[in-house]
Amino acid sequence: MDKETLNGIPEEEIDETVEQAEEVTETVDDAADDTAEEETAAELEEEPAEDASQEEISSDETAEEEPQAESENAEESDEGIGEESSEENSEDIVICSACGENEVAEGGNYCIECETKMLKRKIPLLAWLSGLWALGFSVFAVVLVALSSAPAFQVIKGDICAKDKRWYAAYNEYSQVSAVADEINSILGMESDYTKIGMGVNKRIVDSIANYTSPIDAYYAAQNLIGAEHLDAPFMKEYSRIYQEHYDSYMAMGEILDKTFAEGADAEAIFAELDALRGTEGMTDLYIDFYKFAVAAELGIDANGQVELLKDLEKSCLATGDDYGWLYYQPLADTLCQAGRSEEAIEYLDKIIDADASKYDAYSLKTDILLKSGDVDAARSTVEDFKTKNEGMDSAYLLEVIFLRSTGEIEKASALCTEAMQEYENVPELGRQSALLSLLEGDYITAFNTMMNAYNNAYYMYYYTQDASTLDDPKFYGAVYLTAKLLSESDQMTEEIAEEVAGVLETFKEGTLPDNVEAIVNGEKTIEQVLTEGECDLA
Amino acid sequence: MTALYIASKILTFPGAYIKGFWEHLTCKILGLPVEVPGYLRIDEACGHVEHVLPKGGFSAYLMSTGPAFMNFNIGIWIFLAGFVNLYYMGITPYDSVALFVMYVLMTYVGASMLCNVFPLVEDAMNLYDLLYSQKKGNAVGRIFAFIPTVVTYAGAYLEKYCITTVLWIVFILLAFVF
Repeated sequence: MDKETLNGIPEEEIDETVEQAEEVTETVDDAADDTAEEETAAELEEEPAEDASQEEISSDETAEEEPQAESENAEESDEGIGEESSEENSEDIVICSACGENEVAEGGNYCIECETKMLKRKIPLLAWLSGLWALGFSVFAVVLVALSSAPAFQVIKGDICAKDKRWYAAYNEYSQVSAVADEINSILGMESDYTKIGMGVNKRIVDSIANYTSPIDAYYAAQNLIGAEHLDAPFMKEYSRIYQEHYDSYMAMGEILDKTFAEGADAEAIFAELDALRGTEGMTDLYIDFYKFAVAAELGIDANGQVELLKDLEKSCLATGDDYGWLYYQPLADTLCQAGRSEEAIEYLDKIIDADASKYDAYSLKTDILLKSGDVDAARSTVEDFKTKNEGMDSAYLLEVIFLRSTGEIEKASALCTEAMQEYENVPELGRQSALLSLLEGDYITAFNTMMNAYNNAYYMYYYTQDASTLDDPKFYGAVYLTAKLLSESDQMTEEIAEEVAGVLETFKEGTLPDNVEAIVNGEKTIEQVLTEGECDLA
Repeated sequence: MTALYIASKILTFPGAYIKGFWEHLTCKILGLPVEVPGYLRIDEACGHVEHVLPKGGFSAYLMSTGPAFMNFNIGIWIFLAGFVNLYYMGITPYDSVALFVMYVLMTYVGASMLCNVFPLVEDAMNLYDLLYSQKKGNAVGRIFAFIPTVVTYAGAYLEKYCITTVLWIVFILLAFVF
């Protein structure tokens, strides 16, 4: 390039400027060299092993790199400042995460457009319908709960008893469920479907009967409760099986068992015929053992002999692996008691009580055994136990009344019996106990009237249920005769009831009476002796 | 765990859907933007409405407990009506097929609503944070809200891990099967 024509600047001035620039460059280079030398010297002090030539090269390189580094640092710092400023800008302007376009509204999470859209988001029609349906249906549900609550509470009461293994109480509670439902229907004035008692309640009733009495009784009860067409329901499977086994076995043994009632029946011959049926089709062996015991009891084989037969039955039952305690525990305890083996009897009675805390017969026999053994405190605690577990039940009153009479606490027994009669006036046995207490108090007219009332209740029971067990009980008809007889011979007799008393005595002309009754009538024993000592009853 | 959660929500879909409705309705009442529509989505918010978290103590309380209150109070009666008639009154198909089916459905719908009572964990945490960390709202209100908040907080976690559904299934199995 021609210096004279360079930007029109005079040649002299250009030369001066170039010289000045060269001087400046040299100065900078010198200064750089000086700095590099100083730094290298410092480095050499730290690393004295390096040689001089390397020192010169490195000092030159260092001198060349320094400005580069400075310029890079300068660039970096410029970039940093640039980034910070852009971040500050982005903090100021937050983009809406929903649309990714607009700025987020102040104090909000989204831009105004998106937020407006979100706020306007409609609730689907189906959701409205579902929510409103649920609300309306819940009102219907409340009505349903109200209708079924009273019967359901009755079921809950039964369930509580069943949980405590108080099966008689449970049966009583379950049996009242339909009455409660009927009451609600009468209030409604219609037979509502929503107060319907289902199969589940009937199942509970059947289960409680099975536990309180026997699965065979439960099967019979189910026929009435749920109808023959539903006897194939799953919960009936076990009861049906037991019923069928018993039925088939009984039918197979029927002709042989009839021989028991023939004149001059031979127990051993009947036993041999029954044993011959073992293993035949449709025969369940344990029922052979059971009916052998029944034959022995009918033919009056001694108690120990009966016990042995029942022990054989126990072995057969245990061999099946199923619980057949309902079949032989109570007869075994009774027979052991008759055989004077009280401790063994109590073992079986305790087993019965463990399985069913409302078993009156077991508690009653246990109390009798303890009273006879002279352990009045143990007998009292047995009565208390039964009373606690069956509070308010007629059977609880009954056991306590009998216990108090047996221990001679007549006043207490009488007061308790009066209380019980107010609640259970239709229970024949409570009436009989009340009559016996009146006899002990010398009030023969009350005794007779009370006993006749009890007889009428027993007769009604027989009339409606065909259950004649109370009327056929020697203790019961013995009490009827005794109250009539003692009244007829006393000065309490009035003309008003003379005819009735005579009528009662007339019916007993040809019948046999319990020994204790005859002993009282004949003057061999006093009422006190019979009712407060030994058996503490008429038979 | 999300898969299990979604499965539990699908299993209890009537209750989950109705819970979503109550949440959406509460959002509308409180003026909270609903981020994602749809109540039965296949994600960890299934059975809930994804919404902007409320910033006030009372609105957070209402958002967490309002839908729960509705689902519980409706669900309990529907469940009881079905359960009492099936379990205590013992209605079976032998008695009436129509009644039996109705009571089974009532038990299922009621239980499904009771399985879907609690809010999302985020809502429960937000409620706790606003009331007891940031101390928003008046002191008396915070005292009264403490037990419901703790129950809601615990329930949200129970529901997150499907424990409520499992407990209900176990209860129904124990009542009717075992």
